[in-house]
Amino acid sequence: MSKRPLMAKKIAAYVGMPLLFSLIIAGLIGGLYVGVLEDRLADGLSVFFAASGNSDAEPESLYDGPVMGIGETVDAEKVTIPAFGTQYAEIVCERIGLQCPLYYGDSDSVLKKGAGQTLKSMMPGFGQPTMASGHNNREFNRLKNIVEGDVIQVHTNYGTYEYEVSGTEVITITEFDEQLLLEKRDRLILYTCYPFDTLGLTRNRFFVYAEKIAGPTVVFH
Amino acid sequence: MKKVFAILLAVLMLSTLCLPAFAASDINADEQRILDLLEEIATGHHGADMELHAVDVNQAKAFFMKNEIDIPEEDADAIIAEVEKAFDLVVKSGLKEEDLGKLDAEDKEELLAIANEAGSYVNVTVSYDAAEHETHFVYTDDETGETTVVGTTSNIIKVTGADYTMLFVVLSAAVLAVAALAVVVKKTACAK
Repeated sequence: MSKRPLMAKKIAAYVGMPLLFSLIIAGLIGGLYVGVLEDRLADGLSVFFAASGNSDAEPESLYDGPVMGIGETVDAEKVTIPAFGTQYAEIVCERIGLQCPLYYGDSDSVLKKGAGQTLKSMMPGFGQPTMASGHNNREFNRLKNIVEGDVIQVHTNYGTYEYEVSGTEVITITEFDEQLLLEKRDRLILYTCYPFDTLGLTRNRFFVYAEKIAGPTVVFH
Repeated sequence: MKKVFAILLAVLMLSTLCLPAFAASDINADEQRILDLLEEIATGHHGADMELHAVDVNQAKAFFMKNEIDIPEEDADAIIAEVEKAFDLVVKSGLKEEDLGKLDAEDKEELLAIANEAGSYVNVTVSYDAAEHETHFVYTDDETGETTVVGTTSNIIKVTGADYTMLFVVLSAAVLAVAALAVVVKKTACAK
C-alpha cells in the first residue's frame, strides 16, 4: 500500500472529521439559538404525537384578527374564555418590531409557540392585570429595545387594548411581588429571561409594566 | 405548601367546571362567599397561622368567571364545607407553613380523595406531579375523549430562556450514531 492514501486517510480522520463535527454542532447551536431549527424539529415530531392521539398536539385558535371600534365597553357574553393552550390574542409593539401570538396558559409547550398568559392573571378588559411571558430567544427578545412611553397593543376578538409602558426592571424570580396581580386595574405585565442573549438558565427576569390607555371594559349583567 | 393549597383550591374549582371554554359570566354572591373564604385562608385570617398564595385565589376567580353556570346556594355551602374540612385537616396536623409538605401520606391521600371525589362529578381528575411539585386539573370530554388542562399550581414565574431540549435530543442521537460507527469500524478492522 502506498503512503499517499494512508496520509489522506489520517488527514481526514484527524482534521476533516473533527472540523465537520464542529461545524455541525455550531450549526445546531446557532439554529436552536434563533429558534429556527427547534421549530422545524418540533413540527416534524408533532406529526408523531398527533398520530398517537395526543390531544395537546395543536390547540385551536380563537383569534380571528384585530377588531377595532368596539367602544368603551363590551358585553361579557361576547367574550369567550379560551381553553388552556389556545391562542386568543396577539401582542404588537410596532416601534420595536414585536408581533407575537398570545395563548391562554403558560406551560412549556405553550411558550414554544409564543407568549403565554398565566391563568393567575386576567384577560384584558377584566379590571385586573394581564401577565404574559415569552422566551428570550423568540419574539420577546425584542423587549430589550422597549422604553418607557412605548405603546403595546393586544388585539383580541372582543377589542383592541393599548397599554403605555410605564417602566421596566430586572429582578430575580423570587423578587416578583404576586400582589401586583391582585390589583384592581387593567395593566399589562410582560417578562422574559434576562440577560436576553444568555445561553444558559438564569434566575433573572426582565419585566415590562404597561398601563391601559384604551380598550373596552368587559361588563357583566 | 403548594400541594395543600392546590387541594383546597381543587375542591372548589372541580365543583364549578363543566366545559373547557365558556362565555364569560359574573361571579354571584354564593361564589363570592367561596372566594372570600379562600382569601381569608390565603391571608392568614381564618383562625390559623397559615398563609398561602393569594394569587391562586385570583386563579379561582378566573374559573368562576368562565363558568356560565351559577353556583346555587346549597352547592356553595357544600363546597365551603369541603374547603373547611380540608383546612381543618391541615390545621390539626400542627404543621407550620414551611413544613406542610411534610404532611403524612395518609393525610395527603385523604385530601386528594376529597378533590377527586368532587372531580368525578364533572369529569375532572386531580393529579400531583411530585417531580415538578405541581398539581394539575384535567377535564376529559366524554364524547370525544379529548383532555384539556383546566388548572395548575405551577410556579407563577416561568423559565423563559432558550430551550435546549431538542439540542440534547439531536446531540444524544449524534453521539450514539458516532459510537455505533466507531464500533463497526473497529470490528471491520479486526476482521481484516
